[in-house]
Amino acid sequence: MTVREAAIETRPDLVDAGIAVRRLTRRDVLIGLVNRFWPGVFGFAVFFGVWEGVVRITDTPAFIIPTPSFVLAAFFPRLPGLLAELVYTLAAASIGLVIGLAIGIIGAVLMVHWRILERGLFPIAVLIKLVPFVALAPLLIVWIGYDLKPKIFLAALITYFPVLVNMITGLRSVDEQALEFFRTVGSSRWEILWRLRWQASLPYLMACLKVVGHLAIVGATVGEYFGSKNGIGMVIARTSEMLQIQGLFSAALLMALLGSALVILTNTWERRVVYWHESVRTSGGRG
Amino acid sequence: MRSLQRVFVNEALPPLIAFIVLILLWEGVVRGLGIPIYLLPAPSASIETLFRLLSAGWTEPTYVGGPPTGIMRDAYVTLTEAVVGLVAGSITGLALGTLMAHSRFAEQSIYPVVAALRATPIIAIAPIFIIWFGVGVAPKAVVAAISTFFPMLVNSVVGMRSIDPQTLEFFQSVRASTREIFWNLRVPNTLPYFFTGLRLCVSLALIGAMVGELVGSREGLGHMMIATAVQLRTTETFSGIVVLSAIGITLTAIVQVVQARVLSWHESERVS
Repeated sequence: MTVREAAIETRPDLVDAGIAVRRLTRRDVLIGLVNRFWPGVFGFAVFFGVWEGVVRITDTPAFIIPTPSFVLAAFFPRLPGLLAELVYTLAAASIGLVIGLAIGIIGAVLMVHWRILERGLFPIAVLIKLVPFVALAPLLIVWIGYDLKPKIFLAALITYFPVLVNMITGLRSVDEQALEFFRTVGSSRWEILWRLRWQASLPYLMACLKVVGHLAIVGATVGEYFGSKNGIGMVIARTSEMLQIQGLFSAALLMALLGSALVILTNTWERRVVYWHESVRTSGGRG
Repeated sequence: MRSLQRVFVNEALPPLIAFIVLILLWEGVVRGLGIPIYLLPAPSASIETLFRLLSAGWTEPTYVGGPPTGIMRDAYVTLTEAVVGLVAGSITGLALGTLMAHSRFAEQSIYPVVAALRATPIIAIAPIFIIWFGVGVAPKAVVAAISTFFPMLVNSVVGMRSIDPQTLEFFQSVRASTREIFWNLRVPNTLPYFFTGLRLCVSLALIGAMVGELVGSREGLGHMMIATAVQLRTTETFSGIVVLSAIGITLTAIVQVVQARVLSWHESERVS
């Protein structure tokens, strides 16, 4: 991260006020970073401090509630093994995510162009969404097996709906005047879709990407929990059955770190891609 | 009368036709290809089983993991877990959200912790609560509460913050106290956001309760579904899915009715 980027990150008020970013010294940036991050650090410190304190004072045995320090000590030796399982989970999640995105985007494009499709199919999409996906997990093992396929299916099932809804809204959210202009110069439907609607839908696509990445991982993990030889979900199932609370907490901690990293990553990415949209400029891109 | 007819033709007919086509297709494929009932039951077989399970009424389970005789009790257990979790999660979310909306520092220090908790898949947390609280209602309600509290928190923060500056200025110019501004301006302004969050949370609470049950339980729809799925009693698993979806739809409808009553003054209700 360059100084300039860091300055934009940390002192957007100065940038908005028109104060030249380049004149910010490293000291300003440092103060900005401290101002921005110390409440968060404080929050985590209180959270873990209370946890550690309560467990120590009540003298709760570690196999029921381990202290954060105990979890952390158990986490690092287990990390290589956990990462090997995580690869499997991420593979299922990303394949499922791609399928879910494809179904959602193609479905939205079709529904935006043919109203009859939207009227007929959207309620069914809602109905499918209402079926609690976890209920399908045990059935999927019976239907399509024990390997990667049911995990991919679950990840796709859980991700397609937010994409569909957001893309329908996004593809519709075109400027009326721009649409009229395109029509007067005789643009084809295809051109309007590609040059106008697709651009208009990008902020909405980004907004749902922030959610569905996480959802895809949840779907894959749930699939693994109910029957698998590999994956983080399998680790969670095994360790909880055997009351290996350290292993269980290590897996949960890894998932928490992964999820948090994903949130930070998508937020930063969103600011890069749709920086021109007002939702990013005003809210700082927080979901 | 004419407009009612038009509404029916435009709004209700296409999904109805699509739904019927889907069901018929399903039935046709199952019969045509001779798919065995334990793999994918036809709609007709599923409905038959559903009625058998419903008409059995309130029956206690015979033994752990035993075949389900009635579905009412399981549905009641899951509903209790979801509703208790929903209420607890909403109250926690609202309280923390109110705190965060009033203090920047509270927001900046609480939000990262909550976001990290939220980023952890619920399936990773659920087994921990089963170990702590046993296999009863409590751990499922906790899991449901955790799934619901984040949307409530975000919605209440946004609702409390997004008040019209002119109205706020007016309140301040007539020397309204902070407490008056809170009850007469911020709280009513939060209500639409609250109901949006609540509608979202209904299905999240049910899924949370289900996840808790699937991880460890002796009764409830989740338990019934996993017990029947591993025994390849697939028609009964499908009945569970149907009942669960029905509960979800009913709860959502209840929230919508209450919302229409409470928010009759708000433009979002007036337009539609």
